[in-house]
Amino acid sequence: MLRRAAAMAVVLLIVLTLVFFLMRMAPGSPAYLIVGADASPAEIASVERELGLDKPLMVQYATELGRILTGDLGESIFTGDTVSHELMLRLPITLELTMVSLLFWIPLALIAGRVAAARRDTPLDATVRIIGNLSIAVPSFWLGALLVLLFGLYLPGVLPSSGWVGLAEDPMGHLRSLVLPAFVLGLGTFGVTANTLRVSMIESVRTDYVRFGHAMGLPERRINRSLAFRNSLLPTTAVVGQLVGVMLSGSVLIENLFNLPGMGRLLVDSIRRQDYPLAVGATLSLAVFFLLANLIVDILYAALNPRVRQKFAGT
Amino acid sequence: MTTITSTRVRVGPRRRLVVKGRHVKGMTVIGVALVSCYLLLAIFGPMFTVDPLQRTGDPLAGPSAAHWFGTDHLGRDLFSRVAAGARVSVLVAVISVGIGLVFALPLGVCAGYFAGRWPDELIMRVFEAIQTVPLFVFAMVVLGITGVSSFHLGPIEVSAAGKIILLIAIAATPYFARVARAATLAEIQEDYISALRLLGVSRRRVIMDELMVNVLPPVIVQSCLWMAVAVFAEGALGFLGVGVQPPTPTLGGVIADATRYMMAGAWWYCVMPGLVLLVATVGFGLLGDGANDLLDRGER
Amino acid sequence: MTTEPLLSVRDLDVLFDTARGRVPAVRGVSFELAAGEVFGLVGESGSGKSTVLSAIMRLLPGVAVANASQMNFQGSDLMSMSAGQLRGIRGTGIGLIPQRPMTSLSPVTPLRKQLRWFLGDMPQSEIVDLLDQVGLRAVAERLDGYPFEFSGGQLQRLLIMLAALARRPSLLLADEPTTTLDATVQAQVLRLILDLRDRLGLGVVFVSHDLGVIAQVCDRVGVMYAGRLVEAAPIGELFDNPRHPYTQALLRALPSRYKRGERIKVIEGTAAGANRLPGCAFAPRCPRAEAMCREQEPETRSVGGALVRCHFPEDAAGANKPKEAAA
Repeated sequence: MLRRAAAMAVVLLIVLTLVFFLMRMAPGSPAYLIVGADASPAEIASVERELGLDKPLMVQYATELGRILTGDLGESIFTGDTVSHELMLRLPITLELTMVSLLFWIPLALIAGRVAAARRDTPLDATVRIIGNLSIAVPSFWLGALLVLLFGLYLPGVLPSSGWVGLAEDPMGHLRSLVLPAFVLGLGTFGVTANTLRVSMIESVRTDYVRFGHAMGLPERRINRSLAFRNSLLPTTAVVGQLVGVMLSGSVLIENLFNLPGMGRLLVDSIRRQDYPLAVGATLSLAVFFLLANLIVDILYAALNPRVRQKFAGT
Repeated sequence: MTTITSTRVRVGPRRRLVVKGRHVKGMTVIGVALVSCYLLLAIFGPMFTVDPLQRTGDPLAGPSAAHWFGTDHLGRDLFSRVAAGARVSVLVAVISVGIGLVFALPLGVCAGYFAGRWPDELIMRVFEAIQTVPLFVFAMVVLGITGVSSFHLGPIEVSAAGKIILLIAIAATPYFARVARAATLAEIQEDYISALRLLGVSRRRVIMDELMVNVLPPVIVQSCLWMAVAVFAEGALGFLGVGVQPPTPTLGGVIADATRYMMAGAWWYCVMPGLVLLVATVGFGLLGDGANDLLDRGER
Repeated sequence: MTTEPLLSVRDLDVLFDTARGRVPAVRGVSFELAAGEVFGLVGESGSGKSTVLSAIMRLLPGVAVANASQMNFQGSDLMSMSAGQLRGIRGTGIGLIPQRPMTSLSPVTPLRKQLRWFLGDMPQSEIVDLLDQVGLRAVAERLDGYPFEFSGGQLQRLLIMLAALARRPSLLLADEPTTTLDATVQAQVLRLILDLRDRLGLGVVFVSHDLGVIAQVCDRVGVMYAGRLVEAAPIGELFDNPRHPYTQALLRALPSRYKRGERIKVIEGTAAGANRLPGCAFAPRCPRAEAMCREQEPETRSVGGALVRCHFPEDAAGANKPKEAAA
């Protein structure tokens, strides 16, 4: 566990460092954004002094690093609000979107993968495979755009195709505004998860324990459920862990498409406006989010795997 | 008469990349067809179409004999724009997967050959670190910050497309290396490798001659899948406006433009470029599956 | 009056559908087994001995095709049984001891739960009693543990308890049950199998590549080579009077036959490609092979107390030179 935490810290540090130096290498000074493009050199210089941009690069890096380590992410250049406050407004939305999407697609994928494996090489199996592979291949932002077109233009009023409704103001509307984005965001997850489970269950036929189960005359249902399915959950969980990261990346696309004010949207907006403190904060928190998701899946994996579980308990 | 055969060192069997006399599944045929369509469009499309940057029709006109895919909001021919975008997408995908392979193959084989010892540890730790970064987000930030302008890596000037290619290659490298490492590990245990070593063939020769050939099949499968990923990533970055910049048309960029005119009922504007993306990703996916089945069965 | 054998297999063929066409794994294997008898199947890896067991259990992988003119267990034909009938016989009529005890139970479920799958709602006292009978009294308190927390020997005893004791099958198939175990544990497990045979009157088909193990447990032995049963004889007869040249070579390669410092004779060549040619599969490696051996496959014939599949079987060790037999 300690080792993992250390690895996480190192990764975060690398991300932060890269982002910092890339920003300083980028053309144009952030000072222009504050005073405007037609400001005099003297004005620019004074703002740069104020922001500490006149100091040597390494000093700036050290100051920034120290600040962030104490939890101070600075203020947004555009809104003037603290970055942490902006992030706290956006984070729950991305989190909720991802969770809803997972809760919708993962159970479906588990059922589909299991049924397909049990009825291998039947039309049902083929259907699951084709739908699964299509769901992986469809570019999410394109499908999302088509859905916006469909529900926005041809089926107006059925489901909202854009925007966000807060839970407090309208619970039903809130859920309805989540339907399309959550559907598109997790679609690929469905295919990958179902495929992994299916393949793993089919391959479990070759394992010694399934063979022994057959040799002892266990009913087919018992073998499918308790041996093949239960053991196939392990590789499937590992894959879902990787998918959560993919979904976070996907949320950048989906939030922009459906106009949801989440982290992904914040990131794109802050980059467009060259609001660097906000961009750094958003990148870092997405990276933390990503690493935490991996950690949670690792713990889940351990819970499913007694061997790993004991190692966790032991240390 | 007695026959006492001496125990000969048997080299191989080598897995053939081309498997003869084996029926190829229908799905793989579809995959080949889709990928061919996409490649043909990208290679030859731009040669035979009108200028994708010039207005040649009415704005937002639907598909017709003159404009197969219709026109965009400036009256430019959508088919020629999509063909030009497909060309960008193919170039980015092929070059990035190629660069990834060039780096990953030697490193992965090396890691597998020295499995458990320090070269393996070093290589795999670095790749693990790369894999823990949300690379799409990172790519977006890097591209967003460094912008349209090219930047200098020492004496080399890297254009916007170059940056995308590099980022995708970096993302793909750990996966390629992992597959190559696993395949090497499996190969190392095969008797013929130890037989070769017993014959006194040098380490380097063993790696170069035998391993590379036998490790390639699983890597080819992985490359097909990453072609699909690269096509998607290029499209997605273009969609977010941080891809290859206008005036060069990209598939993602065209879709992004289209979302602004959808409510005008211009469905073709959004559908057509996406269909090309879909053809490519489905095609490469099926091709990867097909290669997997074929090579998997070839092993037995 | 002859009693019906517990198991009788006649002309068993198993083919594998592969990319290179149908590959034979077992060819024309026939044998019978009486209740209370231990029949050994010995051969190198790939000789098809484990495939024979899978075929009897009807547990061959999907790519395999099995054919037999007869495969009777207690008078009923195993080949024609439905999946449901087979499930009724597996575990209760025929038990199988697997080769790798460490991986033959699900790694993610506690033993107690897995025992319940196999034994139903058996009261704890009965389970303890069963464990006691296979020398696993101490394990009874650790049943909430997972398979990886137990040793290979413990797991193998547990599996033997499940396969051979708990549900009282009359036929036991043992698929190299001791190959993955330490030598001392190996002896204990072999003794346990023989003990159960004596107490329950089990018929046992015991597969092994180790003639030493075979000699300890079997009443009769069948030697397999390249999918064929090349010689079958009572244990004493086989060791004292091997008739097939392959059997003779196998016995010569037994380390226990050698004095210190003496070189062990190995069988030259490999079995690879044995099934590519017509004629006897052993011919390419056989010191006695004649032209005929390479053209015509020998039929099984009875010589003394043994069944031998060879054109030139020896009646007694060294008594019959091949050239003379041909002349």
